[in-house]
Parts: sequence; structure tokens; C-alpha cells
Amino acid sequence: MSDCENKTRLSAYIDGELQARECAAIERHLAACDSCAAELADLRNISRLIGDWQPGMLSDAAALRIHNALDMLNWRRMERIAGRLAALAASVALVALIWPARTANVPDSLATWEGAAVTLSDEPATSGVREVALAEWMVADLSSGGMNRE
Amino acid sequence: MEENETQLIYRAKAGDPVAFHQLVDQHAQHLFGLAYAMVGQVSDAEDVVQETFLAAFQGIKRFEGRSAFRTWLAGILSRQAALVHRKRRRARTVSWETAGEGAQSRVSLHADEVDAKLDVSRMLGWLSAEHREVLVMREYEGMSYEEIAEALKVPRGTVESRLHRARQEIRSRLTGYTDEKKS
Repeated sequence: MSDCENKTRLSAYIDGELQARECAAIERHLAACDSCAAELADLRNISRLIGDWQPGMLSDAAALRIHNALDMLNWRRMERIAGRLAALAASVALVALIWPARTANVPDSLATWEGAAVTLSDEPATSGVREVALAEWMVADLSSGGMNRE
Repeated sequence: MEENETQLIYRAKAGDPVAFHQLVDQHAQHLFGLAYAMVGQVSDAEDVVQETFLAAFQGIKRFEGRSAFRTWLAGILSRQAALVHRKRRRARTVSWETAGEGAQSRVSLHADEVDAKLDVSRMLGWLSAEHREVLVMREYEGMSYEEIAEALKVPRGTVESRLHRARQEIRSRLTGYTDEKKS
């Protein structure tokens, strides 16, 4: 009777995952099929054995490690946010300080890092790269005293 | 989902780390049981639980509440357990796969000395990782087929067939054990 088609549905039957109509059909079959009835009893025993299993407890030390790891992750996240905010604030402050003095001498059409800073996109995919490029441009320009400008 | 948990999730999604710590306290124990049932070693199970919570913390904004929070966690945990299995295959360390080898003969020869806890550990060791995870999600976690399918991102029919094969595997292995006990 190992080829009985109903055996493939016995797992779903004991798990209560069959429709009422299918359950009724399985129950009618079980009344007439000793092989399936025996298999059903075995599957229920296996189910009970694993369901009652107590695999042990998470130790206090392990729980503490998890909380500490979460704190560390959260701290790094805050550091990243703070770093980006600080960089942004520094850029804005530099622009605010230098822009008024420069605008009188620089033609409107000339592209400057000040202009790029003001129009910096905040798209997450590109803003990090552009911020770095902008910062390098700023440093190069300031260290040359604006000599790179024509 | 309890109202309390709903509130904690809402706060955690808003960036409140204290709320997430409370969610960890609520779910750590049963996740550890699930992890241990999947990977079979305490230290690996602890690592799996930790990585699960770290991944959940980073991705909690993506949790939309379509499934229970524990189902969502179980899905993450399943992927973390799969990484452990992958690492083991590379490193060839002791695992469920190797622990299960020859277990049937040991159980049969020393049936009276083996307690139920050890039997279940060995039984799970007989199974493939795929069959083991659906079985422990169903039997240990009490998850429905729909919940398991959602957690593992597989069709419901796959859950049903894997469960059927997992139980058949254990039943066929235990048949020798029980027959020997009777004789």
C-alpha cells in the first residue's frame, strides 16, 4: 500500500491544512486503509516528539552580546549621519563666508565649486561621490588661493 | 500581532533603538530554538540569532506588516542559517549533516540510553537543510504553510511536499529503531 495516493496528503491533513471536503475524503479513506492509518499514527507521533522538543535557552551572555552588537551598529549609523551633517554644515558655512567676497571678481558664467555646492543633489546614489569630488575641488582651490581660476 | 508589539515595531521603524531592544527580548528565545534546530550547534545558533537581529534592525523599515513579525524574522533567520551551512560546506566542519551520519545505528544500538532530546537532535540531523527548516518551522514554531511559504519565499505546494518528505525520511529511519526496540 506504499503507492497509496492519499499518503502524500497525510502531512497536510495532520497539520490542518486541507479544505473540509479534502479532510472528509481522507477520513473516509483512513477508515478503509490500514496502511494509511498506521502511517498517520506514526506521523502524529513524530509531530508530537518534535513539537515537544526543548532545544535549550539562549544564554544571558549571548543575549547581552546581541544587545551590544545592536548598540554598536546603531552608534555607527549615528556617526555616519553626524559625519554627513557636519560635512554639509561645513560646506554651507564655507560657501556663506566666501561667496560674497568672490562674487564681485568672478564672472557669472564661470563654474566654481561654490556654485556646485549650492546645487549639490541629495540623491543617495550619487551624493556621496559628488560630495567627495566637491570637497577635493574646494581644498585644491582654497590651497591655491584661487589661482586656479582664470 | 499584539498591540504592544505593533507599537514597538512602529517605534522601531521610526528609529527608536530602545523599542528594537524590546523586540529582541520578546523574540530572542524562540529564535534561538529555531536557529538551534536548523544549525545544530549552540555557538552557531547564537551567531545566527545575532545576525538575524542585526539584519532586521537595518531592514525594519522594509517590514510592511503583511506577515507576522515573527514570520518576517524567521525568514531572515532561515537565510542566515543557510549562510552557516554554506560556510560549513567550505570549511568541512562538524554540522547537522555530519552529525546525522551513522546516528541511526547509534540510536538503535543504545536505545535505552538515548533520551528524547537527543533523539530529536539526531532525527533533525538526518534531514537536508531544506527539509529540516520547514519541519522545525511547522512543528517547533507552529507556523502555517502560508507563513512558512512567505518566510522562505517558496510556493505553498513546495512547503507541503518538503514537509511530507521530511516526515517520511524520519519515519523510515525510525522504523528500524522501533523495530529493534520491540525485539
